[in-house]
Amino acid sequence: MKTKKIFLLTLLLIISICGFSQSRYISATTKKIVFTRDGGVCQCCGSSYRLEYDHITPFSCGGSSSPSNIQLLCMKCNRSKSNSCVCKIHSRTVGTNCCNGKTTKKATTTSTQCTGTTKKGARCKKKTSNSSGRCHLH
Amino acid sequence: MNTELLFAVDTNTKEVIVSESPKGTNKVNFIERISYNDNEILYNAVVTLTSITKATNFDASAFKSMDKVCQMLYGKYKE
Repeated sequence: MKTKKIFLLTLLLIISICGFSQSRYISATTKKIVFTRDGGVCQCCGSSYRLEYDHITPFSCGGSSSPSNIQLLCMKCNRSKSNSCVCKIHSRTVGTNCCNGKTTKKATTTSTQCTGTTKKGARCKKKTSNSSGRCHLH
Repeated sequence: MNTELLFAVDTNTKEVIVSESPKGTNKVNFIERISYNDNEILYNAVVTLTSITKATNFDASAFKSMDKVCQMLYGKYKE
C-alpha cells in the first residue's frame, strides 16, 4: 500500500516536471482578466462582436493558457490567424513565437519495406523511412 | 451558473461592455452596453477593475473582489 502511494506521487511529480499537465482549457478567472484588460474588443480589428479567446503563442507551438498568453480576437481574425502569427485579413501581427503551422508534436513518418536483397537472394523484410528506400544493412 | 459574466469599459464612448462566456468554451457572447449616464457607479467600478488588470503587480484577490462588486452592481441594475 505504501509503495503504491510512493509510486503514484513519483508519477505525479514526473508529469508536473515534464509539463504534460499543460492544458488548452482557459480558466474562468483568466477569461475575466483578459476581457477586462483587452477592453472587450478584438485586438486586431477592434470589433466587439463574435469574440473568441486566442493563444498569442499558439497552443500547438507550446503556448500556455495563462492571461499573458491569451488575447481577445473576433472570429474572423482568429480563423485567419489560426496557428500562425499574422491575421491575413488585416495583415497585422497578432501572435508571437509561432511555429508556422508546424506543431511541436512529433511528425509521423511513413516507412516502407526495404528494396535490398539478403545474402540468400531473398527480399529484405526490414522497414525503412530512408529516402533511398533501403534499410541500414543495405 | 454555466456562464461567466465579463465586464470592460469603452473610454471613448464612456460605456460599460457586458458580455458572457459559456464555461468550457473560448467564445464570448455580447450582452449589452451600459452608458456612464445610466449607471455611474457600475462604470466607475469597471474602470477600477480595468486598472487592476493593467497594474504592473497584478493582485488576484483585489481583482476577484472588484469583479464580485461589478457583478453585484450589474445584478442590481438588471432588477
